[in-house]
Amino acid sequence: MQTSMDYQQVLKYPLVTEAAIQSIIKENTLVFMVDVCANKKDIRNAFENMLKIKTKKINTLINYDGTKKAYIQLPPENQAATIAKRLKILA
Amino acid sequence: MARIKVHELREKTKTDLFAQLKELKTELALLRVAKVTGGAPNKLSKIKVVRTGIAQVLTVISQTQKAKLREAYKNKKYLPLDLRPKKTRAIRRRLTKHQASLKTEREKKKEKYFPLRKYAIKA
Repeated sequence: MQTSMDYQQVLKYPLVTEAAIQSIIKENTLVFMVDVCANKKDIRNAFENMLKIKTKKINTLINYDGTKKAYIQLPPENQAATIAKRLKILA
Repeated sequence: MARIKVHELREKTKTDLFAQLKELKTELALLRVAKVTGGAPNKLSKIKVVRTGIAQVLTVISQTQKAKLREAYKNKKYLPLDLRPKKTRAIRRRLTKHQASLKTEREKKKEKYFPLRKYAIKA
């Protein structure tokens, strides 16, 4: 079962809820909605290929309505806040 | 970016098309972020345009690929199954026109020497 997803289909959009913004500021993590068929390896691949950002740790969960959320923790040298500003997640 | 014109796409090479596809997909990703963060209406309406653009590029890629494959197999004996005519299962199993029209020598001679005659009857 080695089929990996096409990396442009993995990440859908970043979350901008209050809780997501808190995790950007406090825990240096970005929160993304992700395709349900993606696994953590795919997410890491997609992140590093599309956005050229190194990741430290990825946690995923599946919501009640069948969508997948990924908490992507960045290493301390990448500041999540500046990246969020670059991606226009934070204004 | 201007609206994609498909007749211009058809003149591009495969690598060009894939590069354009990648561009379009990254643009879509940006627009999706804008949608979530409350973007301007001109950005939100662009999503549909970009999605149809992606569909057009993919269509051109697959159409040219199919056309080239058909050319490559043109005079070969065996075609791949998805290049053969699909029609219906029953139609594919019927005798071909040529096979159905074959007649024995005997039958051909009969038809030649004893054709169907037309008569007229005097009233």
